[in-house]
Amino acid sequence: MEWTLHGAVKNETAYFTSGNKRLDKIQNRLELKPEAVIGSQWEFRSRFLGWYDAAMDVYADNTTDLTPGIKRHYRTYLASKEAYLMYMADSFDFRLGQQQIVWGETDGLRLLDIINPLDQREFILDDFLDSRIGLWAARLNYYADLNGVEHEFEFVLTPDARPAKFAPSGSRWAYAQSLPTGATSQRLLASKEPGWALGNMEYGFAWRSNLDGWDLSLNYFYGWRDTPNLSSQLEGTVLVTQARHLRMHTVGGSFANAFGALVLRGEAAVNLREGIDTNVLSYTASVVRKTTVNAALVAEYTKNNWVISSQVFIRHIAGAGGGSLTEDETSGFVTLRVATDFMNEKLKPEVLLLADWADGGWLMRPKASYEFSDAWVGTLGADIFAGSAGFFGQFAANDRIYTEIEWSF
Amino acid sequence: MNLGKLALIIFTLSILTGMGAVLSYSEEMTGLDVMKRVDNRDDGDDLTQKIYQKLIDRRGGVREREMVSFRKDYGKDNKAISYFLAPANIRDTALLTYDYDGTERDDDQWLYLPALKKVRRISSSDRGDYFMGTDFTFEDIKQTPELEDYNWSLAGSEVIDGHDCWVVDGKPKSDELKKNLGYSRTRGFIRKDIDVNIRTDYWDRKGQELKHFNVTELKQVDGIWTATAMVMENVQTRHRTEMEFTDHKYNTNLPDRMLSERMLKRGYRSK
Repeated sequence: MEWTLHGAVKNETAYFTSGNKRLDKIQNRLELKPEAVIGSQWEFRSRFLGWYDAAMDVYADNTTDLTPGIKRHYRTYLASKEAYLMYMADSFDFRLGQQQIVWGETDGLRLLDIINPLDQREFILDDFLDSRIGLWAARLNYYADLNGVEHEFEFVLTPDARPAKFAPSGSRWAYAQSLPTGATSQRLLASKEPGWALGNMEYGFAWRSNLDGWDLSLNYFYGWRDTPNLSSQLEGTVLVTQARHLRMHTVGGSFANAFGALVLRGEAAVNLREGIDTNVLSYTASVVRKTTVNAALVAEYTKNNWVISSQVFIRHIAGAGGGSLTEDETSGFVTLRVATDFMNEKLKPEVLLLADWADGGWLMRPKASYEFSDAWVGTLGADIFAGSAGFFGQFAANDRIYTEIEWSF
Repeated sequence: MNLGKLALIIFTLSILTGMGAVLSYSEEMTGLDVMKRVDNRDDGDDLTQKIYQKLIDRRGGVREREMVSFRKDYGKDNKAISYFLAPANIRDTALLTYDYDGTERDDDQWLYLPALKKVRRISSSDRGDYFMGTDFTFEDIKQTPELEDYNWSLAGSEVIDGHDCWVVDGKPKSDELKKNLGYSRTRGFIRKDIDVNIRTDYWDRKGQELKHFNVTELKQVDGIWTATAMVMENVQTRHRTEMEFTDHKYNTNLPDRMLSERMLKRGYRSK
């Protein structure tokens, strides 16, 4: 058995430049990736991430959006992101353990990438590799040659049906909540989360191949919706709310192909019996089951060391009817990313724009990274929100600038 | 996506310098004849090798890369897969390329990005683009240039490092090609005894001297002439890329599955 250890030490410092101007974080992070080669066919791979956020010890007087509980939540972090055994045979790969399983072709749009929930302590600003919650799972990838074409069949089974995590209530990255008419306060009941039980098992299947130059996939997953539905009822003037996680079926597929300098990618996912919140204040009627259709198309153009990539995402709730649903019948996002490099790829600037066309809010993420050496990389960037409400607009007072310095080994 | 292009070096750069059978000295030899011999040179049916790359800027700052690559021929086409082993921040990045002969069909490329945990279809891109911070363009790392893109002319003979060489000039056939390839002219020096290109000079689109490619070490490996060290120096930016190739294994009958998308996701660990 041969062990190796790679990893990185990184500082991420961010400062809020809008709203109450203050440090968002001074994260001092350590990432470790111990691995072992066990004979010719077995391997062990893992990744652990931890940090101490010194910004939580800077503002002793802030008891509004940095309460002791919020500080505790953000001050330290230690998690195993992956830890699995992999067996590699000629015709299949088998992985057993804590994993991140990623499906789909889009960038950051989670239509088919629904197996691992996210830790949204920093909204969606953290790298997915860091915000994805590793799940304990068994995964088999079987490869078959049919008429000279390789086909991949993937089977996933996980008893670890954990939901997404969110920023604590009252923190600056918590989703906005408003009280309905007649309510003066809110009481949260303990959420109903799926635990480790045979009946809560999540499972899925995927087929992938390249046919006539097209990368194609078909996907099916039966799992729990990672983001909870909210069952609410008014008791006097108190809004009593309970987060509930509901099962749903997801059926979808993806494609990708290149046409010279242009790459087209896309994916679609139909969620059957997805839980959708309503405005009805009743435990039984505040969540309804609907079929939702989610589709995204990506066009990526590469020319002269410039990459221009745009995505369009549309979500439609079939049979939305009435007007009682909390989300629009049809909604979506558009994104635009422009990136290039200079100085033999030492300097890499890019800007990413994400716009919520239903609510009109947007997020712009310019950044530039510089490779000082093989081991040292520095990044300077900003996250700029606009809008008055909605997915991005709710964080309009959270514009921030940030620096990152990383040493990897 | 330039990261991906770098990996192509792995399979092809050594071949760029190594070329064909021994020439018979013929007065009727043309530039195209020489390049055809280069194109037809025996480079093995498959190849495994390790690559060490050094990028040196004008101030002497050095960045290093380590890769391992596998290439297998399918007639005039080939498939290749490259894994980046170091530095740590690009470790596990891997590129799969289906390189089709001629210009009728674009190459197919897939890049595995460990930060995304996804295999990405990528554009085979402009041949004149520089990749992965090196001084090689996509065109430079072709096994040989697409012969039909250039007008080839034999400019004479010259002795380079004690070896008698053909001097072959290549000029893109159209302004559009000149723009795409990034060169207005190339001059290659091909050893007459073994048909190996040991030096190429490049001029940019405006006709200005651009860069120089030199093979600095050439060996026979399993009976195949193989460039084991080379350098490309850009005289305009004063940036230089040095490459060393080791652990060559020719004709090991690599299984097809080694050159497939699944291997991108597995990654490479030496065993």
